[in-house]
Order: sequence, then C-alpha cells, then structure tokens
Amino acid sequence: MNTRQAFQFRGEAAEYFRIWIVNLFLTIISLGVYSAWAKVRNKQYFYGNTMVAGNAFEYSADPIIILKGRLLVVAVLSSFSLVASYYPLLDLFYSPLILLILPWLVLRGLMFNARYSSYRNLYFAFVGRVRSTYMLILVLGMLTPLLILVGGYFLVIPLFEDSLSEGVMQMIWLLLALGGVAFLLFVWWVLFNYYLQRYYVNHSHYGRLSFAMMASLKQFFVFFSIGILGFLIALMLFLSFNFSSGINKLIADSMLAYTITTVSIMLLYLRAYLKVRVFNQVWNMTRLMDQVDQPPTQLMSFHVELKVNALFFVYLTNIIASALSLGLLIPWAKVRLARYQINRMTLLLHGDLDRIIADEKMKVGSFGGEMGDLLDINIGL
Amino acid sequence: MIKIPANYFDGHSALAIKAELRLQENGECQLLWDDVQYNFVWTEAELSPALGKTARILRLPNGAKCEISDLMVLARMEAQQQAKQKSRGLLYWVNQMESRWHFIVITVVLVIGLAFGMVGYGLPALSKSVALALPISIDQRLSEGAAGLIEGELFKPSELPLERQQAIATEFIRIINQLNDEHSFSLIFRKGLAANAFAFPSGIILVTDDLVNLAQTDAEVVGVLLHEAGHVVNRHGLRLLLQSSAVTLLVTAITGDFSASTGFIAALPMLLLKKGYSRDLEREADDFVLEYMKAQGLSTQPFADMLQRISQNHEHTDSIWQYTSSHPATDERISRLRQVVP
Repeated sequence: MNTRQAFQFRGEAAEYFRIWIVNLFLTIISLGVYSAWAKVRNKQYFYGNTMVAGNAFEYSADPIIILKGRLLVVAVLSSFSLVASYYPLLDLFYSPLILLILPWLVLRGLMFNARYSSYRNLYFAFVGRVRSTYMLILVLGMLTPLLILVGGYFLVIPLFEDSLSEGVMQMIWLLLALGGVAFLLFVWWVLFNYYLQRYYVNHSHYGRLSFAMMASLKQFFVFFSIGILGFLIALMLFLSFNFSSGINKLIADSMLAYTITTVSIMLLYLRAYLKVRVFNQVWNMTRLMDQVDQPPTQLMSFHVELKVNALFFVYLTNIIASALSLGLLIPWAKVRLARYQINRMTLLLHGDLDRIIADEKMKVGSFGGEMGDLLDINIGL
Repeated sequence: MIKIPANYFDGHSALAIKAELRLQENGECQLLWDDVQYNFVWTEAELSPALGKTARILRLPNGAKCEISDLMVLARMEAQQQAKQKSRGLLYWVNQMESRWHFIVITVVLVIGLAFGMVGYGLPALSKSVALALPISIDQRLSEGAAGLIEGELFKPSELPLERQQAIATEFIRIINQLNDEHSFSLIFRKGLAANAFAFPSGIILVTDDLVNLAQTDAEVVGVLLHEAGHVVNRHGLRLLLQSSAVTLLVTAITGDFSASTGFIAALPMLLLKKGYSRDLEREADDFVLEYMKAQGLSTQPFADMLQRISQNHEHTDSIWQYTSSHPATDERISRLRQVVP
C-alpha cells in the first residue's frame, strides 16, 4: 500500500513580518534577553506552518533553557578573553580551545533541536556519538584542509629558494603544486559535504523509525564536478570577453563593481545548483526504517523536486529585495524560500502512518537536565 | 458549554484521532472520540501561545496532545476561563502586539529609529568607553604590521633635507611632551603615496615628503601631525575595529540564517557605515587640534590652509570615486576650522 502526501507550507509574508518585527523590537529593548523567546517563536512559526497529511510540525523548546545556554556561552567566552588579556600566553590556547569544543557544541545543538521537534506528538531524536562527531568535524572538517594547505605551502616554498635560472621548470612545478593542492581541496570539499549530510541523516530518528541515507558518494562527486567546472568555464568566458580592454581596466574603479557583481551572481548560481542537486539527491535517497521489525521494514521515503533556475531566481530576488529594503523584506524572503522548498516535497508512505510508534526509551526527559540541553547551535545543513 | 473539534495524539503512535473537546463553564473538560471519553480540568492542561494562524497545541495532563485549528472558538474558551488563570503570560501580550497593525507601524518606526540610534550613537559611544578602558598595550599589538608596511615597497627613504626633518621633529616632540599621553610617539619621514600622513595606533606617525613640500610653513605640517596624534590619543584604531566588529555581529544577528548571502547583503551598508565612522573620527581628530591650538592661544589658520591645499592636491591625482566621496567632507572640515580662527 503506497500513498503520497504532499508537504505544504502555509506561512504568509505579511503575517510573518509582524512576528519578525516584534521579535526584533523586543530583542533590542531587552538588550538581547528576549532573543531566546524570539528564536522559539520564529521556529514555531515555520514548524507550525509546515503541514503534511493534515497535521503540522511542532517546536516545543523552553525559551528559559535557551536563555540559560546563551548566558552560559557569553559568560564562558567573555571570561576566557578577559583572562587571556591579562595572561597573553593563554591567548595562544584560546582559539584552539574554542575549535576543540566546537564539535561537541554542534552535537549538542543537533540533539537539542531534534529533541524538541515533533509531529503528531511523536518526537524526533538525534543520536550521534561524540567520537564520530569529532572525527567528522575536527579531523575531516578542520584538520584535513589545514594539512592540505600546510603541505602545499611546504611543497611550494622551496621552489622560490632555488636559483632563479630555471624559470620555466619552476613555473611548471609551481603550477603542478597549485593544481595538486586545488584538486585535493576539491576532493576534501566533496567528501566533507557528503559525510556531513550522512552524519546528519543517519543519526536522526522519528519515534521508533530511523533515517537512512542511501545517496552515494559517486553522485556527490558528479554534481560537485559539474558545478565547479561550469563555474570555471563561465568565469573564463566572462574574463576572455572582457579581456580585450585589458586586465588593468578590469580592476579599475568603474569596472570593479561590474566584475564583482557578475562573479557574485555566478557564485550564487553555483550555490543554487549545488543546493538543489544535493537536497534532491539526499532527500530522494532517504528512507525511514523500522529497525525493530526483522528484517527492517521501510515505512517512508520522500520525493523532492527542486529546480536550479527557480531556486536561483528565489535566491537572487531575495538578496536584492533584502538589501534594497535595508532588511525590512527579510521576512518576505524567508517565507518564499521556505514555501518554495517545502511545497516541492512529497512524503511517500509505504505503510500506515498510524503504525509508527514512539521509541519509549527515547522519550523526552530521559536526557533532561544534562548540560547539553543548555546549548543550541545550528550548523548549516 | 463550548464544543470544538480537535486532533488527538496519544504520544505513543503517530495515529491522528478526530475528537471533540467540550469545555464546561466550571472548567471541566471532556475529550470524546469513538466511544472513549477522557476527562480533565482546563487549568491542568497547557495551551501553546497563539502565533499567527498556526494551529495551537493543548498539552493534556496525561502527556497526550490536541491540535486545535479553530482559533476563534478556542479564544472564546480562553476568555471564558480567564478568571481562573493566574495571568495571561508574556506571550499573550506579544501576540496582541503582533495582531494589531497600529502596533506594528509603531514597532517598525521604533526599530528603525533604534537601529539608527544604535549604529550611529550607541555603538560609537560604547566602543569609545571600552577602548579607553583597555590597556595601551593593545594599541601596540594592533600596530604589529606597521614596521613591515613602513619598510615595505610602498615607501622609499625620505629625500627631505635633514635640517627640515629635525626642525619639524623638534617642534613635534615639544608638543607631544605637553600632551602627557601614555603612548610612545615617534615620527617617521618617507617618500611615496603623494601628500599624506598616517598614524598607527601605537603612536608611530608617518609623514610623506610630498606633504612636507606642500606646506608653506612648519606650523602647517605640525597641524597635520597634531591631527594624527589626535587619532592616537583618542584610540581611533581600536575604536574603529571594535565598531566594525560590533556592526558585523549586529547584521549577522538580524539577517540570521542567510549565512552565505549575508556577506553580499551586508557589504554595502557596512561600507557606508565605515565611511561614516571614519568621517566622525576625522572630526574628532580635528577637534583635538582645535583644543590644543585654543589652549596655546594659537591660530588654526595654518591647519585649515594645509587641509585646503591637500584636498586640492588630491583632486589632481585621485580618481573620480575618491573625489566625490571625500570632497564635501573636506570642505565641511575646513569651514569648521575657519569658524574658530581667533
């Protein structure tokens, strides 16, 4: 038995504008204290307007807990920098320390967000391990690109210390080294994106169901290669068309704005392309499995159909409107982006929605009181 | 008795049950579906705050939830039971604000006003008091790149006669000693970058040969040096840094999850703000010169003449962009200085 249920976003720009501006106002006059309530209200608006199979999602975090978390973060950070300003040596450890606790904060943030998200009174959960989080964010996310850059640096530097007589060979080696570093960074970029998505999806649960991402790494390589090649070709074309007037003219005052704008638009198109391909691929290849059944049964999957040009148009008009209105059209921009994305998603049910049951050991409260509850941090997914 | 349809979720499965909620005058509630009836008291259940047209959630004492979409009838229920509630709660008033257009208009005006006030006055005042409270050693650290810049390819050694350099330096040192400031000042002559003078936060002041040559008297050069010293004494380097990081933080907080495109949106207003800030700081450094001259009973005329000459000089050399942006400000600065000429 298969049924299709379309997702629907019911938010309206004018309505959200009023919520947004009141949030902003109260946050300013309370010197930031209200920001915790603003965050919850904001999230509740988008969750509460996202409907599927006749019901909305719910976000039920307690603003007081978020406020405590924010105060804690501010207190820790400011005491750190205060101590560091008196003992300059500690300054050296300050930034690495923040980087070191970042993966833990990300994990806690994901757990927090999932724990207070529900649909039909069944809660989501994020069950990530500390070890795999550190492997992903610290080792793959931060140390690997650093290693590539440092390695590339030590590969290139000796070239300049050699005698300058072998000019041509030196240039060839330099280009090879730079090309190698660029290639390694590209491979790293794709790997990191893939494993980040997989980490996020594969550790998510809804009730007793667990999410499983079936998208392949190969697909990611194809999309990212097409995206970056397309961008580079467009950039080359743009430069060669304008090259007749000379590169100097190109970076001169009058041309600078034109060049920056064109390249920014190309980058935005690249962003829309990658977002659409990754989003479609990840969601279309995600299954919700009941692991308790033997063998595990597949209960839900998704059908998502974002279009590159349409999303690019939404991005571009959102940015222009937000900038020209000095930010006052940001609510309108957020609503239409959400509407575009959510309205193009469909839930495929391979069984009875009513059959999904709660995981009794994962109910809210069993984690309650942990320090992690205090923190809410979003990573861009 | 008020009746309302509700979606009942028991919390154990994703089953949605169409039910009917009945609220009696005395606060007793019955939830009915099929042939089941669940009883509870209104004050024991928790109703989520109203938010736009989204359905509201009634959290029942047994952990189950009801999703209610008929907001009008629900509001009648709330009103009926209001006497029994302790208070309306903060979010009730927030929702009242959100629902009334005249409140929204006032809020928009206030937010715009507060944003301008904060960016225009609040942040500069805040960063000033923070900067003045921080130790001078920070200025040193901000100037760590100074040596590399001065000895770099931008400048060549000065070609001014040694006597001229010494005469200006002697006068500069005499004035600096009167200032009684904690910074350790030093004066450096270099050739390059047209007629210009720069101050590094630590107290290093660099003046170019072209500027000295443009001046008709040493008093004119000293006026410019004093202006640069004003930047140092008033911690302008640190303040500009604090201000622009605060603005970045603010813009990020407001634009929120726009992440990648934030840079694009924020770039233009940020550029304008920075221009405005540095204009204010120029004015403050001019005031520093004015006050010194006034205290010493000296004329501000030479400094004003010098500014005029520098700006005319730049008109010949600089591009159209810089001309349009800095010209009116320079005129304004000169006329301010002229007004107080004794």
